[in-house]
Amino acid sequence: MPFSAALRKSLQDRDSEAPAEFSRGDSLEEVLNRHLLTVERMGGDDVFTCILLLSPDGKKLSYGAAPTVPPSYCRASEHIEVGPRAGSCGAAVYLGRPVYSVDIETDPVWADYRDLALLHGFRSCWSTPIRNSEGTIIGTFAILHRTVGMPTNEEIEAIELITGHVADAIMWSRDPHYFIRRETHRSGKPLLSLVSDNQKAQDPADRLLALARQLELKAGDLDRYATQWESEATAMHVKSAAQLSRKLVASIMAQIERIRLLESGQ
Amino acid sequence: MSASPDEQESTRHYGDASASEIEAVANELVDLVEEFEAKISGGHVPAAFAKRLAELRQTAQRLIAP
Repeated sequence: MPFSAALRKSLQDRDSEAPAEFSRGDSLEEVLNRHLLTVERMGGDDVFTCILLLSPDGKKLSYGAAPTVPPSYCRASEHIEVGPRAGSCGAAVYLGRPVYSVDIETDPVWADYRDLALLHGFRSCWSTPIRNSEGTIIGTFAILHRTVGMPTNEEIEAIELITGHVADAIMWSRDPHYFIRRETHRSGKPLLSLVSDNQKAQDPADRLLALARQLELKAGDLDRYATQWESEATAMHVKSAAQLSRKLVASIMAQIERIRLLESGQ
Repeated sequence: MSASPDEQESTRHYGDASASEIEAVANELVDLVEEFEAKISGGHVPAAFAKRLAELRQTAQRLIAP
């Protein structure tokens, strides 16, 4: 899988599109599938990618997305118990580090799923834990191949890049405030300062970020008003205003991504 | 993959225009919500709240539509 500026650019484009996709109601699986298909398109014919999500108790993995992995393979490995013999993904979570299985036929970590993988023609699998912003493992990103082999340094760098983007998408799906918090963290300015300095902010991305934060707060307030209002018609309009606020937040976050891309010259 | 300077410039202009339009709609919505909040403490809904909200939604849909 060649690593290039093109992959970085494609993933950044995906980042800017994801908020709007979530906002219009696309599922996490749909958004992740688009991420993975972007990677597979650039990776060549022998690249099958999947994302497994970790259960809240940290014991089981289930498919979050696997756009081109055969459905029969996914069905037969639908719930993977985390462990040292549970394939590259189960072992990656168990060990808390990437597990690159160079040859599935001989690698002990594939003891529980070896026959299934070989039956589907898979010979190597490189799996990396996906972590949230606190560093907790929330899933795995894996690349399966029909040939044996070890990733090159460039490929490992690409995998780390992909894993970061996938983590962002998962975090966003679980917390609509996530991108705002991430951008605020990147800008290095506290949220309250951004809001109060809104009119003075000169940087377009900072100004938009402050506005997004303000809209998020308003959306939360509107949700609360909607439950308190006696008139159904008014409550409906208030809910509608909250929805519009959140749509605008998603759109603003996409604009911020685009501005950051232009600023970085990519 | 790299865009020509002209292409980059046109992207920048398009991006700026789109961002400023969205920013304008967002600011209008914040104003409308604040007006709403100021009035509801007295038990009243601002006049034409629904109409102005519908207009904003329409403008936003035009800007945000994929």
